[in-house]
Amino acid sequence: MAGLDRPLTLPLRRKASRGRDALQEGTQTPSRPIRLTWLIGAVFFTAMAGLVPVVQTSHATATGYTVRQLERERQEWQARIYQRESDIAGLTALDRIDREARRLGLEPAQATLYLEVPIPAPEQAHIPSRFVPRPPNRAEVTEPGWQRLLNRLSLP
Amino acid sequence: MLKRSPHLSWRLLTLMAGFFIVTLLLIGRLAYLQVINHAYYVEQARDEHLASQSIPAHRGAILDRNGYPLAISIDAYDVLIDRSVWRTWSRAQQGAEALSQVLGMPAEAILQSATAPGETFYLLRSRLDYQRGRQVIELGLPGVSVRNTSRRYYPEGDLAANILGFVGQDHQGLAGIEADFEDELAGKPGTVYFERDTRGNPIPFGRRHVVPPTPGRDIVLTIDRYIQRIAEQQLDEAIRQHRASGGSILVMDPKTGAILAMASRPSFRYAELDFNDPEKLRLTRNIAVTDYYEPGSVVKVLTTAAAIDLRLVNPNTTYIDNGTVKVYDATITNWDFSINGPTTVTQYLQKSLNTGSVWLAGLIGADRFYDYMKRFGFGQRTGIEFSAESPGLLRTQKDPGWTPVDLATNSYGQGIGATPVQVLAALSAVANGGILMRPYIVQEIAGPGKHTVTQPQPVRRVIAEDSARIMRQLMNEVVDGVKSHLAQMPGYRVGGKTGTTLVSIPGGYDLESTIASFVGFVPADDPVLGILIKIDQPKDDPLGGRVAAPVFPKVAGPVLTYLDIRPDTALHAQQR
Repeated sequence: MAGLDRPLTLPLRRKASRGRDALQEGTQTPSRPIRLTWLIGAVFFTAMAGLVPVVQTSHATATGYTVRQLERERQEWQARIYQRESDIAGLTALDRIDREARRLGLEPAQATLYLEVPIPAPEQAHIPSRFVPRPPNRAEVTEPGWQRLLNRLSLP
Repeated sequence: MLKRSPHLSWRLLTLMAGFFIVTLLLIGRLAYLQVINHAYYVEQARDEHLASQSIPAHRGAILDRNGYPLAISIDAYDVLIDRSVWRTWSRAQQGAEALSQVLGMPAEAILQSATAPGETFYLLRSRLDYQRGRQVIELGLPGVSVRNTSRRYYPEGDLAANILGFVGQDHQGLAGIEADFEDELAGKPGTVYFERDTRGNPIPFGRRHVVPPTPGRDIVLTIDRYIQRIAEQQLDEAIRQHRASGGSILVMDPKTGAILAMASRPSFRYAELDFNDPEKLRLTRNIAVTDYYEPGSVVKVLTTAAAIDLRLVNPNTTYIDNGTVKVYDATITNWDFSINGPTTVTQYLQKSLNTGSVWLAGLIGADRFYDYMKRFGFGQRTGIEFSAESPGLLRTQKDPGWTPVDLATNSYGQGIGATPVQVLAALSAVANGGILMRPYIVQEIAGPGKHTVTQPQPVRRVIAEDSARIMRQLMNEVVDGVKSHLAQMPGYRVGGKTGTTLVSIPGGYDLESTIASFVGFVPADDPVLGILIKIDQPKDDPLGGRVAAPVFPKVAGPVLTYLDIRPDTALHAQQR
């Protein structure tokens, strides 16, 4: 089509003068390329406008699916944490420790000897500890200031 | 030509009125449906295409005072079979074979039970562990669905079972801490709302709204699992050795009232719980707080404390023991029928003479004696966090049927009913400087957004501090001042008192069976442990001094080592 090879828009002044000419001539109508431009624009706009909710819905659905997937994953991880907690509880049960100690040939102490060990005791296991605040680490509490400074140096 | 009348005809008017009324009725009906009953129809419309499902809240854990779990919940699954789907034989067979491998059940058994006539959904397996539950989900078998649930797990086995209690099928606490702290432990279930199809199944990618569940709070007990284990082991050993019917061992911090161990027998085993057997359900009681007994000579300590606090006597005050005391028509003798002549207060306690208590009760008088007994907590609940706690029994001079003989017998612990926890709390008031502390077993309640820490709660001052100091010395004399007392501990000063009482039965006492007890504290000059040992109906020996007292060092020894309370080496050498 020859009309499409031309520029789709014309200067306003030109459009106005052509309109005036048409009125004067009484028979002339606006040219076809301009009408086609408007038509294509309108179709494009309508198509785009119709596409927006589709895109939005699609995006919302995809996000919803991802959220649900993440929720499921979180539940699974939570369930695994509970399972591990129960495993740890079973392994640290006193009866189990007693059995293992006896298996290793240990026996209940007959006498008690007190020895001074200048190393802080290991931190106690606190599992589950979701809500109960952990007690301060003894090692941190007893560590002198110069030791903390020394720790900051990157010594080999 | 006919002219149409400019006025409306009656027919037209009637028609118009009719239309008008009908229109009004329609508007009214619409207003009724859409305005007045708006909420109802919105609800109905929502129900039509929306469904909801409850999301169970994770039950809180019960921890010992060091944070070791005593009861925790694990996620689990219930496996359900839709019988309507399994009507197709090939589908059922295929499903049963696949499930049998995961569940470890014979395929024939699954087929037989799942295809038998009954409700549409058949519960094939309840509380299946998480791993295998996931495997069932991943199989994606038609007609097989899983439901989220949880399982209660007691990692220490039957340790402290009487304290912890248990949960029912619906995961609701039915006894012990599980029941008494149900509101805190249970949490708040959540809900998931989703769009459903005509068959009620969720529409994929449909609207979905989740109100997440609020997990239950964790309960941290004052119980120390290590001390509890020692108490239970020693109680079992004493019951076995003396062929006793039961008993209790309680360990308390006398300064705070925190219960470190509370062992009771008979008890139950989780594996043998049977809700249909009343005899087995009776075992679930925590008899250290629910059952009262006559504390016997242990009460002599409290009678003496009252007399010393009133400045009526001191440890060296003397009375003449003639072996018997006549109170109205009753004659009271010493437990061993001994006659000791001039006897000091210290000696009367060491020998546990009934005549001495009757003498002191006479000096104190009924009004003041019962006032002290009440101040020591007898006849009222201690306030420990068990709903089934018994207040015990204390009949005073104001109660009908009371006679002065009651005052005499009450002074050495007969005719008074007290729970083990009441007795230990009362004796702890003597040990800690004269203040009755409320015994407590819950140290912390920790949950989302809330963390409560129980503070030691003094109930009242019962005796003056100097009276308590004198009593501590006296009780130390009762143990360390008596040669070969079986509650003595090398390197530690021990204070305590034995008790032996006949078992009361309707209409009197069973002369053949006793309750042997010992209540003590250590170290006597600055007590960190108060321990009550009570052995019910020992068969080989009836006396508290020979049955219960020897258990004291067996419990206190390892506990003191565990708490790093070291023996006094100089005292140890002196004792040798």
